[in-house]
Amino acid sequence: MKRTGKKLTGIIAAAVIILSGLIVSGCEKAGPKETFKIGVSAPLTGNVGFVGVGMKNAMLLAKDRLGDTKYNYEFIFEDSQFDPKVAAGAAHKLISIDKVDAIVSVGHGGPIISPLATKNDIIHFSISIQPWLAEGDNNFLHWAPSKELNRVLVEELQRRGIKRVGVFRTVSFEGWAVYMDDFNKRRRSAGIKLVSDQTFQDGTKDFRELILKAKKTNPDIYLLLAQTPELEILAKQIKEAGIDTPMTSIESFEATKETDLFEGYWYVSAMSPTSDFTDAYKQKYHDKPPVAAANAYDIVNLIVTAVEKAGAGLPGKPPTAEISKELRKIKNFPGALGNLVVGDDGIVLSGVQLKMIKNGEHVVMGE
Amino acid sequence: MGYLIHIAILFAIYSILGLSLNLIVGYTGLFSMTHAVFYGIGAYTTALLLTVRGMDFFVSVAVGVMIAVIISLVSGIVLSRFSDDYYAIVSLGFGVIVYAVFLNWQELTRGPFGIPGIGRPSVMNFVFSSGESFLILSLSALGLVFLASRFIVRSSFGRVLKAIREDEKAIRVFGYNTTYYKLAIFVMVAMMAAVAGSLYASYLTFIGPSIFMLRESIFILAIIILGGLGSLGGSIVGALFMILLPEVLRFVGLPSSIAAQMRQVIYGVILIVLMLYRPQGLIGKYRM
Repeated sequence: MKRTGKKLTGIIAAAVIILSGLIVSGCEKAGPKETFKIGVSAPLTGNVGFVGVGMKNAMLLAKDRLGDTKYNYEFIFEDSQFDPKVAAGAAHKLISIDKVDAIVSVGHGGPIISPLATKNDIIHFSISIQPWLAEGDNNFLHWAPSKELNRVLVEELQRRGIKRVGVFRTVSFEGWAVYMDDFNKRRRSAGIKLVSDQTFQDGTKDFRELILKAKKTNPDIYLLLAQTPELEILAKQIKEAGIDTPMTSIESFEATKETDLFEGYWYVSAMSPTSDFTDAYKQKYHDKPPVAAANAYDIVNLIVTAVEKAGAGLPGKPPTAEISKELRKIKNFPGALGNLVVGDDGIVLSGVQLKMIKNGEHVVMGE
Repeated sequence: MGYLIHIAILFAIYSILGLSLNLIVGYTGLFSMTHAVFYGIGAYTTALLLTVRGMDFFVSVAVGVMIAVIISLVSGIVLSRFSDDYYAIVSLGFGVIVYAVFLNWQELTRGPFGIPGIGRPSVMNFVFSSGESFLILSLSALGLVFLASRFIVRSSFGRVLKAIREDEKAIRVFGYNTTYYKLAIFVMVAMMAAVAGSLYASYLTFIGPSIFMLRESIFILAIIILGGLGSLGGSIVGALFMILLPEVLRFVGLPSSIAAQMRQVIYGVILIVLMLYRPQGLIGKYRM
């Protein structure tokens, strides 16, 4: 009996060892994780090369902070040079050669890549002011809608009793035209008068004539819709003209490094990265995250969240349709731009805030 | 495969632009900076007629060519009075005006928003929706433009153009009205550029004013200088080189942190070296 018991124990022990071995070998046979490729078409060189470099840095930072995931995430960056022709080449390479599963674009690349993404059944995230880029099941957009920014702007103008606005705006980029269109629609219904609308081309250096024209109309505030370096040159020349009328903006003060020019001025922005993201970015790259960096960081996390959920329980990578469905389910997502909500229309909404420049820092008003 | 087809389509479109610009710069010796203008006119005409009016692509090409003829006639009358550096400066000014129209006439062109959703050509229910079919269409257009260019160059008209390039005053002594010849070739070149613009708009499905800026005229100029002035083959070789080189450089193994910037440097260095050793272009006959 004893011998039989010993034999039985030995058999069970051997079985356990063999079974354990099989389980371990079985696990090993599962092999390395599947790779989900994310292609990025962004300007890495040229005048706006800082935008693409910031996006690249932010996306790699997001990758570093992913933690344990079912899939590997690989990023392939291609320079679009902010030229639609080059962006098209980059997109075709990413889709045909690199076989990416998702593609991220910014600015002029979006309108070309959006139909390509639909045709090739891959996820496309665009960082752009044009809401139509989110049309179709595969296309998503992560940029605060102009209507929302203008709602906050006009409400603040009303609250401050401002009735006369003078605008300086560049006509070279589509973003400012979108902001201006929505501003005009909203300010009319709020009874705010546009007393001066001075337009200029990108690269303008001398604004003195425009400033003189605007000054004659005696506005309560100047709305500056321009980007660096025109923004700073314009602000300097307004001050040199002895004008102490306050200035405000939609987004553009956020990117300036010459904060002393705008000290004490309030503005509207949806680009208020959390300190968690800003600190991590500064720690890794020893610089402030530029425009679109936080959006790019969020896009990585949104895609990864959707892919992991859609792929749970599946042997391989999830189909695009499932990723798209999971993306649209994301609500109250803690992103680099605050609480994110992915709308059914594919547009990612982040909070619009009133900010001001105080002691050289961009601070949220009321905090 | 899709990537190679994309490169081939761009090559065909830029070859058309190179061939046409070579007729005026390489063969006639007029330093024109207006090519992106007529390229843009063709593109915008096709974009608007397809998206707003729902017209047929080939009708839009014809309308684009007609508009290019009218505008080139008007501007050409002024331009034909100039030569050498003055011609370049006046043509530059003309380019700035048309770019400003593309950018600021928002009711028509949508200004900086550009025009998205431009359709593909179709013939009798066959839509050129695939890359392969669009490539065939583009190569066919290139073939026609090449034949037309060769006909011009080999004709007596072409010989007068070359004579204008060599010595305009001398050819005038023989009774040739050089203003007429300069205007005629300017209009022909504008027509060809408009065709390339229509193809471009339909292929990319989106156009915006930034595509037709001065840098585009410079890019097309670089194609013919690099390929060879006064050489039709040079225009095609130049287009192949200028379209292919940046794409090839995408595959050069460089550290990812500086890859994009280094590619730009390598691109520039290759162009400088080529111009140092082949100032007449890859297969060119004439030096500016």
